[in-house]
Amino acid sequence: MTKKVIIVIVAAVLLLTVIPALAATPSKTTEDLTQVVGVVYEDGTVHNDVITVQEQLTEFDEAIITDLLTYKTKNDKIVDYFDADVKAGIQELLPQGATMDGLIMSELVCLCCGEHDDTHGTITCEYEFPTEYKDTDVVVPLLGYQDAEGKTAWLPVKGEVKNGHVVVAFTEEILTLIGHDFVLAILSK
Amino acid sequence: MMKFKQRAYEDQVKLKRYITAFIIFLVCGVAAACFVGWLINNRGNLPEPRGDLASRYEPTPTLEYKGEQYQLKSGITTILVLGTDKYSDEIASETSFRNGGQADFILVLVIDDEAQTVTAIPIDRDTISDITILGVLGNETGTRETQICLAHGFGDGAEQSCQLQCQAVSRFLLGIEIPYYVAVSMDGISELNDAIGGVTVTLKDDFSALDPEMTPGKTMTLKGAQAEYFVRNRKDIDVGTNESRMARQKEYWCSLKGCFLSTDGKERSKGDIEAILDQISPYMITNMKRGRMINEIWKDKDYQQKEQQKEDIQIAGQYKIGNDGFTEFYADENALEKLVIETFFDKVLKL
Repeated sequence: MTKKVIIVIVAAVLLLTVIPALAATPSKTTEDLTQVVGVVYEDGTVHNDVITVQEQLTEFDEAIITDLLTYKTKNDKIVDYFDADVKAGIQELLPQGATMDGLIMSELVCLCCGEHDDTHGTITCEYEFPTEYKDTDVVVPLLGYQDAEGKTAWLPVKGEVKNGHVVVAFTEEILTLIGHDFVLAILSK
Repeated sequence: MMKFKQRAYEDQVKLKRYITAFIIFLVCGVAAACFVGWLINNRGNLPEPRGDLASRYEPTPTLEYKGEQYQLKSGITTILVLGTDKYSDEIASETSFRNGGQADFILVLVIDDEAQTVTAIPIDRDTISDITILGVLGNETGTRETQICLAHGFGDGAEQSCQLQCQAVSRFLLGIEIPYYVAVSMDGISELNDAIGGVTVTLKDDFSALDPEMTPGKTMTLKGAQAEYFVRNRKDIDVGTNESRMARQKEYWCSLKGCFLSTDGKERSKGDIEAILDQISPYMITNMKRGRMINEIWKDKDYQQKEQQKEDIQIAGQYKIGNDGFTEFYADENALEKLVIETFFDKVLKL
């Protein structure tokens, strides 16, 4: 009898704790599949508030997305969207013997860089995207930012796949170059 | 002399034969040309071919379940009914491949012409299943396990999103083909509700924060936005779970059967149903031809919904909070398999 009472009480407690928890959770959307998993300084400390996903797209973000979508409707190879020097940079980051043929732009996220000083060294950021990458996938991250003349510039940077996520290292030099608002696009095949 | 006459006669006969053969050839040629010309002219008017003959003799898919052989039922129509969380004008202006909106209401309708039944299988939006991922520029970039409602978020918010949702639900239902979809946008709920003269429900929960008229215990005919509050709102209603919202959606869906009766209790005609469909068509994305859809709805009037299952069909499983803090629903694999077998397959009788 005592056992039965305990089981009923435990079940009731579980029910009472699970239902409010389920009720409190928001409904998941496709946007929630993209997130910054971790931002780690060179000394190993975690600073997830330094590089975050833009909550509201800026005019710059929207212009880039529209431009890329328009280009894609008329052209097959997205790599040809970029200037020759950017393409050369992409080629350099590909494994030896690999060509740019078949590279697609699988992901794009609009980010913003918060307050930080110059003492952190290289910042390593891990991003989760809707696309789950395999360790064997070829990925080339591209940073899109506004240059000094207000034009959109692209910078291919080194990236690697870890647990299906993409890890990108931001040196202090890169952070200075990209400024506050920037986009991260992932070319992959 | 005789020999000469004989040869001349033979030559004449030969000449006649050649002329006759030439005339026959000419007539045949003209007839053939006329026939080809007629074919070309009437190509558009020829009756549609009645399908590939070979496909009629394709073996019906079978499977083994608990030691028994089952074969896919013939004469069933499977339709995926979706309620999306976007407004119709947002869908029309969508140009990206990641803003299709989520399918918050997912229902698989199985119309069995042989058994004359309509079975409705509700699927929880948070059901964990494999969905197809589209890249930012529309390329397919693989599949991943996540909440099934997100499949609709990829794609254009219209046909493409619906196709991706069909694909995801098909995968979840162990590969059952879902050829048709009907998706209704958020603003379509109140439009449909008003087109049929409102749906009468007894409110178990308190919606008074949204509409002062909507108090618990009240039996009322929902009008306009009230229908949307009833089927869509989750967080501040009752316990706030999707499960409780699904119970309301089911109640509303079952009450929709009343659409065959007009507000004054008279039976609606097929023309009335057509008019209702026309009224909600701006809020609807579907790959069903208008006539087919009207016929399927009309069948529902005559076919009995499986009354005993109407209340009970619910995919058993477990709710969890995922590592990302969102609700996840894991269907019980055995229960799901049993449901699929019972709904879509017939036992093969041993002779």
